[in-house]
Amino acid sequence: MSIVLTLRRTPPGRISLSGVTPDRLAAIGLAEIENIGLAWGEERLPLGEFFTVGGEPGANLIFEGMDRHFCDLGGGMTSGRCEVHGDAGDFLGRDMRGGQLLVRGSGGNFVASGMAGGEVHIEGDAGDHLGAALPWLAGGMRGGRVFVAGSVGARCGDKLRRGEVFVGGDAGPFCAARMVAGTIAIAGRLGEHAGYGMRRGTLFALAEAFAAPSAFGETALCADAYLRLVWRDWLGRFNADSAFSRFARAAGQGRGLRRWMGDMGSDGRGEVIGLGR
Amino acid sequence: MRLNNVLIDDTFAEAFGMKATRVIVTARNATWARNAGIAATGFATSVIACGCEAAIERVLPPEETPDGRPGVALLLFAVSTKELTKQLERRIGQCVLTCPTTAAYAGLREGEALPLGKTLRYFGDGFQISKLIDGRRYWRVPVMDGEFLCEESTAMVKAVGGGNFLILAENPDAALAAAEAAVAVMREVAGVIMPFPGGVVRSGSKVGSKYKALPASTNDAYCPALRGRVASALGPGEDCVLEIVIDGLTSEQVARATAVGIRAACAVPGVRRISAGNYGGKLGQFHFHLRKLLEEST
Repeated sequence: MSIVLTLRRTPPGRISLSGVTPDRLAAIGLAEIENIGLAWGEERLPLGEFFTVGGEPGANLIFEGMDRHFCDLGGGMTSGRCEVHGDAGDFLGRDMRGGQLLVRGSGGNFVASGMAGGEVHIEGDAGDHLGAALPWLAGGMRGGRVFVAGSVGARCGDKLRRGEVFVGGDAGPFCAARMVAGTIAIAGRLGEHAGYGMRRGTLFALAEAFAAPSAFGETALCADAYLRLVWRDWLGRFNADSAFSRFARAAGQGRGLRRWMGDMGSDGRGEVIGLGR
Repeated sequence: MRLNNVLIDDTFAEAFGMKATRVIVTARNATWARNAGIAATGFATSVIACGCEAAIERVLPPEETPDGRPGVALLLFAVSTKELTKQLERRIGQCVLTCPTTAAYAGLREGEALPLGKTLRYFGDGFQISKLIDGRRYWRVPVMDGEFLCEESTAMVKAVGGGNFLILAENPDAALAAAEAAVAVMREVAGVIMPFPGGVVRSGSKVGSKYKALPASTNDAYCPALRGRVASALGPGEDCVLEIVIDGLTSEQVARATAVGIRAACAVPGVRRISAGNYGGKLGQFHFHLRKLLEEST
């Protein structure tokens, strides 16, 4: 059973969908859903003004015909499944703690900021600051997993504290900058200054040789048991023809990898694992 | 009751509640996994003086280990959570962390968490790395051959220790052959270990001693050298007795191992009688009645 919210009117500006989550909506009736107030600046506008509410109350929530005017989509979600047809705006999956969020379009900036659990899947691209810390917070994403099939903008995983980010396409500049912990895997090209100020955590660079900055030192890569767990996890998680599965198979069969640690200007315990130039 | 003309005493083995855990140790090849397993479970025959009872439960092929390398499953039993925690940390820290190419993983999922990498990680002196993979936390500790990977914790369950049976035979050759045959089939039972050397113990004990300092002393009633001198439990022609002690994660596993072990022992020529050790049934919470086990196992 799914609740279906179909966009019927594009809002005049950016409107927050924080709290419009499957776990919350499952407990209330359709009429009540229409009256949920959506934050637009200082005002609160009823959800029914922008969406037609249909379907049956249940653990699934479907948004139809979405565009980027709506931010905080899936914000605070704790369980259930939310599917978005169209694009999602900024702050997608903000402070999410559980459940699954699937976007059949692209996401905006600050996807998964403050996320602590659950999974976000984006079939298109994502903007800047994916999993990164909000400007007024010390840390970024704290748990959960984010999968982006396309590319991501700048500062992906900036100050990431925990959790995993998988990007099927390219990453913009400053990927994994100031990263505190967690894992980021980029299947495409890495932008400039990857790992800048990195303290801890792991960045997998799959597609091309990693140009190690001077503040990174190359170490021996002797993490056989750990990498076996990673490859096994990837092979179980991704389709056989995905870049991650192909990389895991190749690595498992002895493809040469290299490892760097840095950023020495910071804590210096971050690692980048990938192909060397 | 007789099995292959071997008398099965109408008695029971008395076993005790214990705390147990399983750890999976892998290495680059089976030799090094086994080396680590043997070291980690060394000097662990009896809780009386070793702190815990431990052994390699079974050898694991690569397809059965978390990282796809050859491994061994270790079982450790102790009388308390505190002692098991201490023994686990010492044994994995001194015998697995130190062994080339090894990694250590939780072998049980359900139960109270026992620290594994959680405490051993400090060996990394700040260079240890924590990674969360598929919801489970691991520690990567840099060591001279690369890194020691260790899962954050394993689980502890309530278990059974001290299951046993006695093989009474005409001579040492028959007793040894029967004990070896029994241990070989008992090792096929999951969740049990026979912690004594080769799975067999010759020094069965009774509670107490004439010497105040000793909590246990030789079971004189089963010593053939004392037959005729003490109130012996041995009959004519019963000139050698060997005991097999069994620890298991569940009483069902101990019962199954006991039954298959007795059947194997009874198939060896020269075995006269099968008995079991107990304390009158007042000390241990688990009673394994030999005849009942054998009847149920058919």
